[in-house]
Amino acid sequence: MRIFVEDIANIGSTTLKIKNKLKDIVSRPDALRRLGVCLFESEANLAIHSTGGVLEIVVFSSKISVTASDNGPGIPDIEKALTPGFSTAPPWARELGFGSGMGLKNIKRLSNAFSLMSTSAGTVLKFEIATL
Amino acid sequence: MKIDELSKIEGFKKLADNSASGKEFGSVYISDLLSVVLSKAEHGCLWITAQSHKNIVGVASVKEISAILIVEGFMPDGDTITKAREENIEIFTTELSAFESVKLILKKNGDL
Repeated sequence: MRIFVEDIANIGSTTLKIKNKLKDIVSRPDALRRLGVCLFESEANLAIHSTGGVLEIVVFSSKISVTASDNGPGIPDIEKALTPGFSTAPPWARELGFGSGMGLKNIKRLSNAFSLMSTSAGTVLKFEIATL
Repeated sequence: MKIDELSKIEGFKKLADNSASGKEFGSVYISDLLSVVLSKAEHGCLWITAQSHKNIVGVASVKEISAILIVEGFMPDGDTITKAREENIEIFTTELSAFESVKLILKKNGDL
């Protein structure tokens, strides 16, 4: 499943569509909730911090693998980006309650596998949620 | 406490009437930061916030939050209410602060 994300007003809509599609496949409610949170954070990051990106979801028998990729501008300092409370979100996003500097940290904490690579050409975030 | 009982509290107004009203909420979580709610709120809770835009419904749905109480007189737009109905999430509004709202909820529940 590949979904293009760029719509700020509808952050969360893509997550809910995916979650609804997977609710009959993923039997563990806690896994589905963790997946939902990680997808929401990924969707928000793509909409706020990039010029638009793609969420790619692959369903395996024991896990769900997600790749969120974009075309830039990239994360200058990944270590800082993973520090709780650090955020480069613009003021408009903070006014809406985004930009608390917890998004990537939430994904890392809730996922069973996590990787983040970024250059000025784009960012690729990968995470997995175990479903068994 | 049942969600529907919130509509009996003076100053609370129910906006997105749906079948979630009969559900119970076991805890209350207060925050305006969406990622903090995503991280810390318990599923099935009542979420109190001053945010009123459509993204709050997405957060509530992802976390399986039963109801949202929007405080300080902020009002959600029609799209937000429609989305809440679609996702079966109850929305209440009040002119009161989060602190005053919680006091009334505790009082209604017999905890104060």
